Amino acid sequence: MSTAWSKRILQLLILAAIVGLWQLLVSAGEFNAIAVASPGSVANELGSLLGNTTIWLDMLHTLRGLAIGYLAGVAVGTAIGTLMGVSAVVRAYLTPFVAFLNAVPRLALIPLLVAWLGFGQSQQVVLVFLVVVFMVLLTVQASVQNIPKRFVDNARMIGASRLELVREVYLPAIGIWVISSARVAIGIGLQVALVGEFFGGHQGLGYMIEEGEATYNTNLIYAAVVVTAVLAIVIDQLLGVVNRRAARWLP
Amino acid sequence: MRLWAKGLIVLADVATVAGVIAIWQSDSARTATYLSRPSDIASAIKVWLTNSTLLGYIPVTLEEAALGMVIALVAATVLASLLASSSYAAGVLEPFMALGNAAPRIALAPLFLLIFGTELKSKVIFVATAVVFIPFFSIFRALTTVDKDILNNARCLGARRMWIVRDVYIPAVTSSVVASLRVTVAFSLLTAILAEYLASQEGIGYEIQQAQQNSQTNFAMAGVVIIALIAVCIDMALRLLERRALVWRDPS
Repeated sequence: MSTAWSKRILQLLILAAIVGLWQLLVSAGEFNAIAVASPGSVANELGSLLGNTTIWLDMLHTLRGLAIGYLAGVAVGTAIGTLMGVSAVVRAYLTPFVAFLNAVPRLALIPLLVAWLGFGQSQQVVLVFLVVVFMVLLTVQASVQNIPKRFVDNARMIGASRLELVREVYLPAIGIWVISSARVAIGIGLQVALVGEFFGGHQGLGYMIEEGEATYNTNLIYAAVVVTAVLAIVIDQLLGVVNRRAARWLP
Repeated sequence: MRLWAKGLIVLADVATVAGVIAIWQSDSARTATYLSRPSDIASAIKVWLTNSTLLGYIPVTLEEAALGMVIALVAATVLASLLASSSYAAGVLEPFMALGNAAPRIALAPLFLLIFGTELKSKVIFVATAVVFIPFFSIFRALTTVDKDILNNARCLGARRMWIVRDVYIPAVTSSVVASLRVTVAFSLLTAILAEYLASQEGIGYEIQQAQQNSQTNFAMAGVVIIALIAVCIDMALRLLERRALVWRDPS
């Protein structure tokens, strides 16, 4: 038997053990029934949810909020981060603001955002943006600053114009870091998107959790968590493929 | 950069802050409802600093964050060392780590409070589970990407397993822990505040929640500003530590 197969079998065994233990503990009444649902009833709930269109719309809603917020964060973060990486003056000027704003507990701003933008997707998008933008900004700034000076010098020596320098040296360096930071940023972005829906939404996976908590429907909460985790893993795997593709040309 | 240029930039920073505050203060009608006003926030901060109950909330929040973070760091180090010592175990457990990392822990805060109660313990557990993967992944990566040349050199020089651990692995882990510490600390603070916000009788997060419930936007904003200031101070201290701890590292 090859190692790959034995690994798969072990993984399934571990999964079965976890689920089995979970089911046993719940059946034995070890947990507060409001807080912990049994795997069997969660699976039941999932089955009935997946046969319905609502959950797919919820997923789409969450993904849309995440995508818009993330892309806006990448756009703004890359622009400012590049400026801060290239120019020492801009960096010195903006660093205190970035440090302070990045330290602001943005989740505590949710009630303010809801009061300002209303219950809906815009507050969720703004929330995701506010979290993602600084992660991207700091990554891009560091990546631009860490471009080996000899790359820039070499390119100049063989007569690269400013535009060519940006296209051939800066953009690839920034791109690779944005892509490799995307896994972490989108993972956190997804959680933030959920929290946005949880507090101030009327649709989406976060709202599902909120609905489950408000109606003491624990099965619904766990079903939403399972769906979110699967979604996150699928996104992560896709980004992993993109990452490997993008990193192929690296030394 | 020349000294006078640095001075100019600091001046520009101060001018920007003053400008933003002035505009915010004068644009009272529209934004005041949502964001309060700088003068009101300032007076709220003043109340906060003279009121011993409110002042006492700061160590409460810091304690939750610090305890949760220490547990997360220890757990991450143990877990990462175990997984890094066997590529087979790492391969088997990798999807489970991804699953744990993907679970929407922040949105699950209310469940945590239901399962573990609302005292210190539940907040510490919540912080620890929320941040544990940040140091875990960076330590795991540090352990698995230790330079082969360095390892072989150490072996050539006749290093035993203990020596290699002491002279190769521990420095590698330390630098990665230090590098990820700033993010970990920031997240620990944020999650501690979130837990307080959702269910607590004390702490800065609780004060923000109370203020919002009573429509005292200036106190809520004061809480936000105080947390941000604390976080900036800790971050600056960590940056100094990072520079100290990593001096030996190859500057390239």
